[in-house]
Amino acid sequence: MTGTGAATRPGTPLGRLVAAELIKARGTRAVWLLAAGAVLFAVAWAVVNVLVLLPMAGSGDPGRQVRDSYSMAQQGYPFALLLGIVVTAGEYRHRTITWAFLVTPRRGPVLTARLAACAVLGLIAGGAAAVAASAVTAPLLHLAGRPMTAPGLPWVLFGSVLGTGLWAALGAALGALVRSQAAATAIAFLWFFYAEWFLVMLLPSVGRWVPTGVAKAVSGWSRDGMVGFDGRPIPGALLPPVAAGLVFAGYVLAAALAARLTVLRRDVT
Amino acid sequence: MPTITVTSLSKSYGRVHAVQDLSFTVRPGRVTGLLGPNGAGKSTTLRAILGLVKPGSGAALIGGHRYADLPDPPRTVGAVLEATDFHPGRTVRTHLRALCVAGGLPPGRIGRVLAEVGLDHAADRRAGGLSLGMRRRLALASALLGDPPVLVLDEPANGLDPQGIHWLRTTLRELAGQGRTVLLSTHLLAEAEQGADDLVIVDGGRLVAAGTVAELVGARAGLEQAYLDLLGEGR
Repeated sequence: MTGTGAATRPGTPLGRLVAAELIKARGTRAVWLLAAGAVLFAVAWAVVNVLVLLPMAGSGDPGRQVRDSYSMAQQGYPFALLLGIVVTAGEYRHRTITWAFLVTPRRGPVLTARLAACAVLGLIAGGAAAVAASAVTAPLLHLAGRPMTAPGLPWVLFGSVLGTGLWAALGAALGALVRSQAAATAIAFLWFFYAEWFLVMLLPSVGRWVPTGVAKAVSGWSRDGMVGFDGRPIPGALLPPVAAGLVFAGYVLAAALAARLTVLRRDVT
Repeated sequence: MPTITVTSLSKSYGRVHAVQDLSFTVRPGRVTGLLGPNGAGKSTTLRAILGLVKPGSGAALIGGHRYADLPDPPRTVGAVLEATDFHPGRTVRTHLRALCVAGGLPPGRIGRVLAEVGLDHAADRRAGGLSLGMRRRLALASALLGDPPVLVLDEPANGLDPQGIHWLRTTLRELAGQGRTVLLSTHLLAEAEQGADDLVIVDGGRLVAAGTVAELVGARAGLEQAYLDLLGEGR
């Protein structure tokens, strides 16, 4: 050792931070389990959709039904959301955030890199879910005597993958904002499974703007945004996919900005 | 080699004054011990130096820079804080690799620092399965990754067995002998007396005394007596 510092490794600072986050995520079992959960959940929904939901829906626009069937690829979103929470709030839980801020004392880039890494992980999980769910959906549709493809299907799959990436990034932003893994998970659970649903029941027109509504719209979901207590869709058309994607990204950025301006400025004790 | 300069540093948490108007300097080539009882403000001071805690007033500079303004932190300062700050599911190698990549350090450093701290046999073990002593070594390996000229260590001997303490003392002496600036906090008098060249004694967040170990001991029987006298508990 010389005490003059080790040699420099090439790469942009933000790119290096994203790569470091991906290395940490790859070495964390919970991340693998949640990604696998997203894939399995999407496959399960694909099976349930073709075998149960489609027969219940009866006759309708065949192309729309096929697209909706393939959009089940995004149904693993709760796992993607949890993945993001685990990656960011887990840093506080295990106090490894200290190492991150020692290497990169400017905290904004650390958060940006973490969001980007979670988006990448979500995209990978979403991609795997799209492949696996499609591999199940196509033969089941064929066996059910329905068409296996429909116009606009690539966009549905692209939207499902993108939506899963955005869910993971939203989880990362939420985890950064709340810091407690348990609290962030509880907040997400209460919001997405109760509060959001209750809100849309009271104000159906809000359904197109809530995170679940925009996420479904990103994946090309053609039904209404939310399913009510009776199992029927609540009236209120969803946003167009591109607009929904922008709104979803806006939610991620708003949560991340709130974390940057508040929590991230606090002392690390 | 950079000098650590703490000038009129104060930090409060609500009504608790953790550090009050604290000033001292840590010189290169020497091991400086920040000595004081539990709750004396040692950890807060170190965290202020490392940019983890924002000072209420005053400054804590490394080579004239705030930590956040250092052009290349991992190559300038190595820090050892809590021994438990590791993800239990990640391996030693993964932890170090992530730090290397984030800091732009060459991956070849991993093998070198693991050998230096005697952890090369445990590179693929998960941090959750390491003993406290091994975690201390991993923390030091993490601090040494960038081969930094400045080392800041918070209670590094806590939980170490006698061999571990001896190893740590020897290692830090060697690092200071290479001209590095070494600052460690401790509440253990034996560690301070045997491991440090200079001492900064704090109590209640305030400076009590600073100087070489020999200067502080003076004509007294040893550091313990000097420490108790300085804190007003030796009568």
